[in-house]
Amino acid sequence: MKNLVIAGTKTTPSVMFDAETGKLEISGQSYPESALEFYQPIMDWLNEYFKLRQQASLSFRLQYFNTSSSKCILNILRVFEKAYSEGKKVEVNWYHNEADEQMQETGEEFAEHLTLPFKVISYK
Amino acid sequence: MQERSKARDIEEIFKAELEISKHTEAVLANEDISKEQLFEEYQRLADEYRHLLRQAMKITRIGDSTQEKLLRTQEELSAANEKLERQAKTDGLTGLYNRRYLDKTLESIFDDARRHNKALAVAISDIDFFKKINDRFSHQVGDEVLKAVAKIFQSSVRAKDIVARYGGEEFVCVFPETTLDEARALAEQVRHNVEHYNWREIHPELKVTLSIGLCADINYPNHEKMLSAADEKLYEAKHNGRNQVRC
Repeated sequence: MKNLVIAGTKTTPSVMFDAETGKLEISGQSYPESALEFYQPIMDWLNEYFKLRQQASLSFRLQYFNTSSSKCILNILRVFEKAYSEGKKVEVNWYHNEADEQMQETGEEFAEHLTLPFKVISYK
Repeated sequence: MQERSKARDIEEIFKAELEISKHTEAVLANEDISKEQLFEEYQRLADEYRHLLRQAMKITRIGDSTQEKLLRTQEELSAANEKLERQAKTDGLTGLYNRRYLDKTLESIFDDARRHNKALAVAISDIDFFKKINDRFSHQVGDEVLKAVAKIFQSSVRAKDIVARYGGEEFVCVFPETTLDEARALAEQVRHNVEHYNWREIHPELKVTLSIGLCADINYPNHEKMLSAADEKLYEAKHNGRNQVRC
C-alpha cells in the first residue's frame, strides 16, 4: 500500500500517512473551498488501510479549521472509532499550541464524543 | 464553570428537538402501543431527522462563510498593520528609512559593535547648494533630485548598509562591520555616482554634487556622538570646497 502525502497550502492541511509505520499526521490549516473534495481521498485511503492493517496512530496538529472541515474530521475519527471497536490498536493525538485554548477545547469536545484512546496534548 | 454553562446554553437552543426524543422514549415505553401508532411515530421521527439534517447543513454553511469573513478581515488587518509599520519607518518622498528609524537602528548597531568589538562606519552627507537648486529651478526639481540621490545611494552601497533620509537634503548611511577604508571607498563611489549622474534628464542646466563626512571610530560614548563626529567631517568637506569625502 502506498503512502498518502499531500502538501499543505494556505487553505488545506498537509497530510502524511505512512502505510508502513501506521503513523498518520494531519497538520496546518483547513478551510478548503470544498471540504469533501479535499477529505474524500483521505477517507478512501483510511478505509483501504484498515482492511489491511491492525494498528494506527493519528496525530492532528491543526491551527485552524472551518465548520465543514470539522465535519470531515469527525468522519475520519469515526473510521478510527470503528477500527477500535473491531479490536484494532488505534490512538489519536490531538496537538494544540499551549496558547490556543480554543483548539484544546475542540480536541476535548471530540474526545468526549468518541470511544477510542484520544489524547489532547499541548505544545509550546 | 463557564464551560458547563456554555454546554447548557447549547442544550437550551435544541430544547424542541430534545423534547421530541423524550416524547419518543415515552411512546416506546408504552407496551400497549399499536403498530399503526408506531408507524406514525416512525414517520414523525424520520421527518424530524430530515429537518435536522437540513438545518445542520445550513448551519455548517453559515459557519463556513462566517469563518471565511473572519479570516479575510484578519488578513486585511495584518496587511494594514504591515503597511503602517513600513510607513512608520520610511521617508515618504524617497522611500528610504526615516530619521527615527535610523536613530533607533544606529543605536543598536553601535552598541553591538562596542560590545563585540566589531568595525562600524557612519557617513552623513548633504547635497551641495540644495537651496539654490530649489530656488533656481523649482521645488519639483528639488524633489526629483532628492529621489535620484536616494536611488544612487541604494544602488551604490551594499545590501547590509542602511541608508536614511536624515533631514531636508541630508542622508545618513550606516556601514555595519566595515572599516574606515572600505567605507571611504563606498562613500567615494556614491559621491562619484552623484556627480556623474545624468542630471540633464531632470533639467538641462542641473548639476548636483554631494559632500560626505565619515566616522569609523566606535570609541565614542554613544551613537549620537559618533554621528556628530561624522557631521564635523561633513562640515570640513563643505568648507574645503564641497563634492568630496572627508574622514
